[in-house]
Amino acid sequence: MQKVVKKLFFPWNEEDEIKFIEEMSLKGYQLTRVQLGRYTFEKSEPKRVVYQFDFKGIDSRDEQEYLQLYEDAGWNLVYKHAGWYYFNREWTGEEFDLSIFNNNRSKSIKYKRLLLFLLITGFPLYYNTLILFPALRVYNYQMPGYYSVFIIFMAILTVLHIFVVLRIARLYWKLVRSIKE
Amino acid sequence: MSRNIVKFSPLTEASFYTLLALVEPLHGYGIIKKVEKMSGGRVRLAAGTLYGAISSLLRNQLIELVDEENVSRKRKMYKMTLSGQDLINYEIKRLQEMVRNGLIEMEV
Repeated sequence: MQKVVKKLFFPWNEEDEIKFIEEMSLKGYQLTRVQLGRYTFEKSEPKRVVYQFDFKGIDSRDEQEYLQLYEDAGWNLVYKHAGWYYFNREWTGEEFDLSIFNNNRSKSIKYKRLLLFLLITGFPLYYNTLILFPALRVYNYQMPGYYSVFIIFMAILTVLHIFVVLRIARLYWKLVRSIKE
Repeated sequence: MSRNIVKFSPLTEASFYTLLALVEPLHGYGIIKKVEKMSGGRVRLAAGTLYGAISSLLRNQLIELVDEENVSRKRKMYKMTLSGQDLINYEIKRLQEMVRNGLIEMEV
């Protein structure tokens, strides 16, 4: 039996996202699929499962090696979505740190990859709103009526994108600053 | 010294142990096991950290891929390069000096 929960988490709410998925697992729903704001679970026995997410990006040249390493270290790949990899492992009661990172330095690189990805994929958006639209205005083109709605939509999207990038950049700097040196 | 390796110093604990483990050819999981054994169970390299350490050591040519011909394709094997050896030797001397001074100053 499937259960779909609509919930939106951002990378800076990762702790809450992990808590939500782990609690679902304790209630007997195992995560099978992740899309933006949409989590699909499958009914099962209630069990304690530990979750961790990594952002690897869309460069898949060394993906096989990457997944093999996680598998060997005891992690199962649950789902991969837009460069994010959702891993889990069953809780065995052993007392050791079940994070996929030993230190903030290696954790910060995850957010560096995410920032780079967002800036590259966001570039067409920035180009449209910041360069193309102002330029079209100068030439005074005759635009169809819905065009202004489109521009407003794009402008809102750009502001949101910048907000997300800044929040993640803050997260990244916090990790970098906490590196002991 | 073959090239300026001092700029990679100091290595983090995870990178130091990853590099050190690769005096012999090993794949990722082999590194985790060996480091755990060497450190008496204290250091358990986490998958994400190890992946990052391997990528960065490879990028800086401190380790290299072992000939893939008779190795299974799924798990790649790595080993230390000459620069990697220089760096480890430099780190050992540096850490020795730090430990010596620590012992003297703290009168252990």
